Amino acid sequence: MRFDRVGLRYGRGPEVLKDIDLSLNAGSFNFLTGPSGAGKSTLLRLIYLALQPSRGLVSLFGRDIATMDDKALGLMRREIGVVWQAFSLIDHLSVYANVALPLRVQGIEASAYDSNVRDLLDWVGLGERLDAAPNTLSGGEKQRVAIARAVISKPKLLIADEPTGNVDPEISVRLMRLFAEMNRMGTTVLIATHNRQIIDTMPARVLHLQDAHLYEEVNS
Amino acid sequence: MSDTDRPTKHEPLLPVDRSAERPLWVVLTVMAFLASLALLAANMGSRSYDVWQSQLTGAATVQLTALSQETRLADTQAALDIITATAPKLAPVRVSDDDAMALIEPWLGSPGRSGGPSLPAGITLPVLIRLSQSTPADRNTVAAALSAANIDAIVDDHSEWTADIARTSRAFRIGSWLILLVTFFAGTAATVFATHAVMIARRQIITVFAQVGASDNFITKLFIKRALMVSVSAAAVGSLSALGFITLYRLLRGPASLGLLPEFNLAVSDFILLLSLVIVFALICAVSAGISAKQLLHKHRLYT
Repeated sequence: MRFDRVGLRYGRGPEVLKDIDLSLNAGSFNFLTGPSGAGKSTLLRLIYLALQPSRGLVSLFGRDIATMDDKALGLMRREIGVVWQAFSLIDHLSVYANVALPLRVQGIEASAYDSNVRDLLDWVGLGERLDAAPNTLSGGEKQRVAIARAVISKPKLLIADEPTGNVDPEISVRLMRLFAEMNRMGTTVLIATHNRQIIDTMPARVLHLQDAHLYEEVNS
Repeated sequence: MSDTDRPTKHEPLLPVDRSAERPLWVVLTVMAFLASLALLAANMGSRSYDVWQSQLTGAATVQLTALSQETRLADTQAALDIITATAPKLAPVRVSDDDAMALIEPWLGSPGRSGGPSLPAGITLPVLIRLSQSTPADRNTVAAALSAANIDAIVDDHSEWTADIARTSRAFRIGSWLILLVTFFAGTAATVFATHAVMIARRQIITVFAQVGASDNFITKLFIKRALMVSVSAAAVGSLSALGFITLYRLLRGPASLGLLPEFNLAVSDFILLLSLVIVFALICAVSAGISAKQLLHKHRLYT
């Protein structure tokens, strides 16, 4: 994924992102940090194609997103798994159906993905909660469902926005192990977080966003 | 049985909120009811017109005027003989005086208490002779033969009535179709409004669908499917209610028509039309929901 001098403004307001140059190499593990309001979520939204830049070039998997129509963007999003801070689980669907959602929207038959969904939920420790409603789960369980949903279609890029923001430290460690495991299997990972402790414990590239500009830190 | 042993359920992706859908369902049911009544009225009107038209086609009436009371019977017989001799296939039949009187009642009032005709003094009741299966040439021949025999007569082919009926029938049918169109339009507007409202309410879900790779078409189809289910149910109930209404009316009042209004008789074609209406109504609602959903997704980038 590559950003060349990307800028973004909402309406006629000031630019919230300025001259962003960024590339994420396949199979890399990356953190995005910065103070609240620095634009981390906005940058993530640009990366997961929920926004178009006001200027500059965004290319994903070698394609300029400005040249892509809605259908192509939809297909491209299937290559990106997203974990939102607020989980964004669908309340009327069971844990199983939430995780199976990315496969279902691709038109894959239930019989073809059933065992994958069950195995993945076993892997995240929720194999016994398939039929549970999201609102009956704890914060950590919800986050694990969200991660399972993000990775079920084996995306090339996994993005997480403050994935440990709503869970206790023990769960945070477990979640980070899940991300590391995904990365070990070849998925490019980008995690936006405030949690310095987590950043310091992982050997990863750290990107720092401040005053609408992006800088790269050296992780010691 | 543990969760892992259970078979996979196919849960609906859009939540089914019947209480939120009820107002739309009620509006669509009323629209379908009105549309069904309009469609039935148009079809019944068309059928009645065809019956009236076929009854009047070829029919004619010979009106003997300027008859004196003394020669009335003899002149009538002479006219019947002339018509029979000139064109026997017309099967002339004299209209009875009572029936003739009934025809002029709207202008002269009903008979007096004595039961006798209430014609003004000095005016003789015209004699009417009914002809059937006549062509314009036959009518001209009859008129010429009566004139040659010095019998004052008017041969009326009812063309004035036929034109009136045709005009009334046309106006009735146009009115019915207009009502049908208006109700379809109102149904479409209600569906579009409801789709917008539901999409705004489900914005968060749509965002998730889009983010996990659902295309606009996929999301649109979810709304089309939901709109189709609601509108099929509403259209079916609305049409059945209209059918029930007509049946009840017929039971209470009988099939007799009111003036130039059609008779309330149901035919097989009415049922076929109602079935078509349910299908068309539901399709229009579903297509409106689809177009509306797609426009909203595309124009406002609802999921960004």
